[in-house]
Amino acid sequence: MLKNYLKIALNSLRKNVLYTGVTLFGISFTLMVLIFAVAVLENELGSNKPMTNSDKLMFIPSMTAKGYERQKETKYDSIWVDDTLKIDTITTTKINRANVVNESNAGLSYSVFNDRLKTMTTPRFKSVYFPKIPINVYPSNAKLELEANLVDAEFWKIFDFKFLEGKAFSEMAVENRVREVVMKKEAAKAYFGDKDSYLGSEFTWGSNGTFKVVGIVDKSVSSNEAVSVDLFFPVTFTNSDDLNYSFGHLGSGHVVLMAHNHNDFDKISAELDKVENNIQPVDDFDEFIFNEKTLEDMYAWGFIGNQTQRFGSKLLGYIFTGLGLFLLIPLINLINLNSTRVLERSAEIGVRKAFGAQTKDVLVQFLFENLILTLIGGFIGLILSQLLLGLFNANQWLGETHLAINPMVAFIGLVIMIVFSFLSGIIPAYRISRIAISNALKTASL
Amino acid sequence: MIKIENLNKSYFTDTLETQALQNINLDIAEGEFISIMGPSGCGKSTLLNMIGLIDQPTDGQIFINQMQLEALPEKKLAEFRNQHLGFIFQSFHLISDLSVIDNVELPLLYRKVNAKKRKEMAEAALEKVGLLHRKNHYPNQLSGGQRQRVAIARAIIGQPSVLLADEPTGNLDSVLGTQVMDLLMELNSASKVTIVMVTHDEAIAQRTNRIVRLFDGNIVN
Repeated sequence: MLKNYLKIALNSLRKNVLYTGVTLFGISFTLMVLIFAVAVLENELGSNKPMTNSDKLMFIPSMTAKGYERQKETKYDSIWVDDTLKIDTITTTKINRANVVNESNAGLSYSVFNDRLKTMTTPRFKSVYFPKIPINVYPSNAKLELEANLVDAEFWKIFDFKFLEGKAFSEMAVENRVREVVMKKEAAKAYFGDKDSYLGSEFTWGSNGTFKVVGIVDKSVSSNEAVSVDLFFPVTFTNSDDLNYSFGHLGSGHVVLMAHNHNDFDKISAELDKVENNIQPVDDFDEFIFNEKTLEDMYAWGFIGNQTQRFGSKLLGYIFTGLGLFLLIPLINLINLNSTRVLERSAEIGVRKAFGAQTKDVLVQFLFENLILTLIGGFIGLILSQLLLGLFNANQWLGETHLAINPMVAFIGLVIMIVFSFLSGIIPAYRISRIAISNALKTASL
Repeated sequence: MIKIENLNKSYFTDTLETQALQNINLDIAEGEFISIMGPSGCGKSTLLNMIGLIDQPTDGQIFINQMQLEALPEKKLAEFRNQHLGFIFQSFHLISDLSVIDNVELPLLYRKVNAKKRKEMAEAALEKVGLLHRKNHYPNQLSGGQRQRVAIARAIIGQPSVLLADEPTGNLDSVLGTQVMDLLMELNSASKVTIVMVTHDEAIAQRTNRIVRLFDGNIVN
């Protein structure tokens, strides 16, 4: 039966060139945009190397230090000591938490991570990294601008980079302040030129000296600052004082915690609260709050929100609402086009029903035909979106994001196509399936 | 075989009721070939649609093979049409996007017959109407007479007990019309299939066992 429907669908498409052209353009353009949006979200937020554990990551990119108003209260008391009246002065200082007089938001110091967070028990892994340090080098007398992260050894357990050569520096290497570096392949190629192997080569970073290349990793699809940079140095190569600001517990470090599973986030937050409460006031700051963010929050931070608030869910809400509205217009157009198309085939439906087709058979036939049309349009949309992604990647219009149609994007694209097909086909198919046979047969054309 | 009792059919608009059929009573025996005649608008096709269960009467009963059918739900009616009835239309109503053999197979699509069996049965039906050699052609590659023979093959493929033909020769010239009529006569005598045919052509009607004449929605003979 489906073969019969397929023949009808393909012949019908061939016959009505204008209708087919308009419909395919509408479907392919719509799906191109939707697939593009899905590709952006999937590549940024999905489970892809080196962020296969994306749903288990909790970032602490900053902490808020707050100093509250201090209210001094002096009490006087008089007492008689040896027949002499003495005035006793008692001054107490109260902290008024309703009035913040000193607030600072910044990254975390290395010492806060080492002393307070590294000992946490609820996360599976804990890592600190100092992101996006600009590096200007001059290989072959030409300026090359790179970015580096200073990372600890556990960083490599959280972010599963694809190593094209070598491996990450070990915990022991970090402890021993070994001067090693892991590079992205593009950066190695730009710095050393095209070589079969970069292992053992020496990278010179100005006055910081030279570092031996121990690993070459593939590019990351995500623009997240933890993984998008060109080089990774052991965090210990520099003096730890350089990683701590001279006040509070602030610094420029970001912490990433990897949960055992997604549901552990509440436990981790509860433990972080305890850690916060145990931090002693320092440098006029009374309270320290870790600003926790999921990967979605980190992504949203680039568009809306700020260091202290989480806007991941809101951004996704905006995006999905926008895409839904975008889908609505071509959907209504396609419903109208389909309604006209199926009416032209009333006589065929009359014949099918006269010979025993039930309402559900007609419904299935038109939904199937619409699915074929949508899949053809979707396939064209997929090709167009591949071209669009290539254009965005080549021109870096989305910065560090490297867009690709991976199996998950293709799968979601397929689901979108099927849903689009169903939504655009169901109303016209339902209408035509209910047509009275005697009326349908009065239509001459088939 | 077919029994119609007190059948009425009215069409309603906001202000007007048009009685298409009035108190029709008709018995058609098994294997009988009858023709329904009358002027345009007298209710011939409406009566045929009632017998073919593709339109609902306003009141009255329709029995085929002793089953009362007019009040059955849509699903049961579809099953009954598929199993027991075959239709031949004046304008053939072949699906232009399907080949001859695919058109003929159509009733079997709704019977869960596998593709191989469908093909065999469609070829046998086309053989009966003498068009097997045209099985891979499309309807627009055939003459009017050939199209109607394909439509007859489609009507008989499911071996129905009743064939309902609505002016099957109406769009054909006299030679092709005669050929189609010969074919219907042959099917009637060979397969004992009951045929109810609407026609305007007195000569064609005279070849059938009985003529039922309608005038203004009433049987007049």
